[in-house]
Amino acid sequence: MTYVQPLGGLGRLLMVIPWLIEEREVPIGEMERRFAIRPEQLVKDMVALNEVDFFVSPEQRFSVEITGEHVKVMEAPEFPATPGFLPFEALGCLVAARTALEMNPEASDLRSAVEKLENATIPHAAKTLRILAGTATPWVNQLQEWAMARRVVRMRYRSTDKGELSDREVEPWQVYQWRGTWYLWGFSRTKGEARRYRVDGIQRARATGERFVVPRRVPPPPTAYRPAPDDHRVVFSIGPQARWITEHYSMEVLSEDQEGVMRAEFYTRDPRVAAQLALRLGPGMDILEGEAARRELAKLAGAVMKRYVSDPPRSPRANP
Amino acid sequence: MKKRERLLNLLCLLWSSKRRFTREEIFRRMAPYRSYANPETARRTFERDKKTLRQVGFDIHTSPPEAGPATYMLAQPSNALGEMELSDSERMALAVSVAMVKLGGALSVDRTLVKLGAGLPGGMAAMNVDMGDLETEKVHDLLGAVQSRSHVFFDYKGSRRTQVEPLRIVNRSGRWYLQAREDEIVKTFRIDRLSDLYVAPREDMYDLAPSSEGPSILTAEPWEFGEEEAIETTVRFDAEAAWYVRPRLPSSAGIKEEDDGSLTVVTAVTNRAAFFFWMLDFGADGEIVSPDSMRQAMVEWVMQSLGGGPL
Repeated sequence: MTYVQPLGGLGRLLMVIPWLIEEREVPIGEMERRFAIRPEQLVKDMVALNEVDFFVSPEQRFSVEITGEHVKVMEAPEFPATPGFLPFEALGCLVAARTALEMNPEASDLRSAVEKLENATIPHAAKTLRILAGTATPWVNQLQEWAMARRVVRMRYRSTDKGELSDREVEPWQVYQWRGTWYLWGFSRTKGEARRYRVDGIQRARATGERFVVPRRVPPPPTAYRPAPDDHRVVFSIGPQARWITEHYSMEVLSEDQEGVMRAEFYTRDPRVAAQLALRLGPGMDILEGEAARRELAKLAGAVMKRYVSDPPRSPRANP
Repeated sequence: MKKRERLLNLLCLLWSSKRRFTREEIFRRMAPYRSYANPETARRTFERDKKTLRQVGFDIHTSPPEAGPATYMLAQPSNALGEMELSDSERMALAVSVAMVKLGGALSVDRTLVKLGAGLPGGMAAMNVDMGDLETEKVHDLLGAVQSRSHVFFDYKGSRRTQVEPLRIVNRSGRWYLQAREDEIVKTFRIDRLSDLYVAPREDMYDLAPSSEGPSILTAEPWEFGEEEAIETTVRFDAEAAWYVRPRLPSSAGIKEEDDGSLTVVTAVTNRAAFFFWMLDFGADGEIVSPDSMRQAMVEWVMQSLGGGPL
């Protein structure tokens, strides 16, 4: 729902007409705001309405005028009132509102709106519908404020793949939650490209005081990894007990044998990402192809083993 | 004849007459439908027109099949929004939520915002929450079943589930779940994996309160609701890592901040694979302190990740 497209022509007209008939005279600015309609489009819509032939009821016609700053209905056919909430719209609205309330339980207006919405559309939803979205952390709220105020942010960030701390300067576009994890999406001045950051990887951050200009077209935040030409290619063998991982990471299943063991292709900028995945899944995953990932796996495993045994292994055994 | 004109006339016809029309009657009154040489094309156009109007929110009632030839009537639009008597600030709060929360293709944000009278926001919202694909039809039917305490039947993981008692619908981390009782046991089903849903028409007054409900995917971490014997496990995270580890710790675990800044975490493990998966996300920044059996199991796990057997 981030990118709201203006209502399409016909859909817009079907929403505009009942509202216009009900209001009779409305400021042009109100119509522009309410329906995200440009002034020139508004004129076209009104001309189109005047030209409609209501042949099922020839004595009726639509006559509308644009006078100064207002749109005025002179004549109107009998027309149904503005459509109310459909059941699925009420449900979607309720879920959205409950989610927002879960994140900000102090929002009293939202709380009372949710109660009214539940009573009117889905009684007892408070007991039968649970949203576990988690409260927004202080960093989330702070980053959202900076994004809204277009403030450049300097932050100390722990990279997910390398686990290393470094300083980044970012133009924050959006804070978003996906699969329960909060991310910051913005333009990294340090890297010179759009980047996403896990919010829980931000150790500290502050606004520099500089403002930035949001590009006309901001790309949507990624919810799946987009491979780059120089990425490392890794092929995993994934056992049945770990196959769920293919739903959570961007990997392509190449084949599956009769025992349910899959071969899956995975692309990553840093082979440590693949290595850590193999480490975390233990016997459920093997690296079949990808020497760099194998080497990183050995390093990671060695570092963990140091905490448990005095003489950790130095190199991975050959894969079967 | 433009589609716009055809649809507006169809609405006017259905609305001003306040009665039921058969398709043939509508076609007689509306030349555009008669202009098609092929009656099948006219029928398909009519079906598409009804669908378009319904998508916007005009409620076109179709008579039940057993009542003879289908008749159509435009119902009085629901005024649930008006009846709610939302204040301007409540209306805005709802609109901001709708613009912020992503529910897949289930909800037309623009239409909902217009109905709320909130207008359409331009550009990108500063905050966005992806709640996964709200499969409105299934979720709506399941919510109805919970409210009427009706048994549901559905296909799940290759088998037909029958006489399931739905208890609640839950979204956790962007996934939709049905929590329901089957054979006296409370179970959790992923709604996107559930198909061929049937809600029994009769109402049963089964108890909605799930008795003897243990840890589940809805209330606990994955390693806390496995089927292995529970092992109380103590983990320590280094002081240097505490700042990023702390927000990722489960609320159900016992957490102690030591004098040196390190964190000690105690948690019950009933699914070791899930526990190691979580624990190794922190790499070498954390260590299982006790019991020894879990330390040894971790060593074996890491060895197996290298493609070998236990030490």
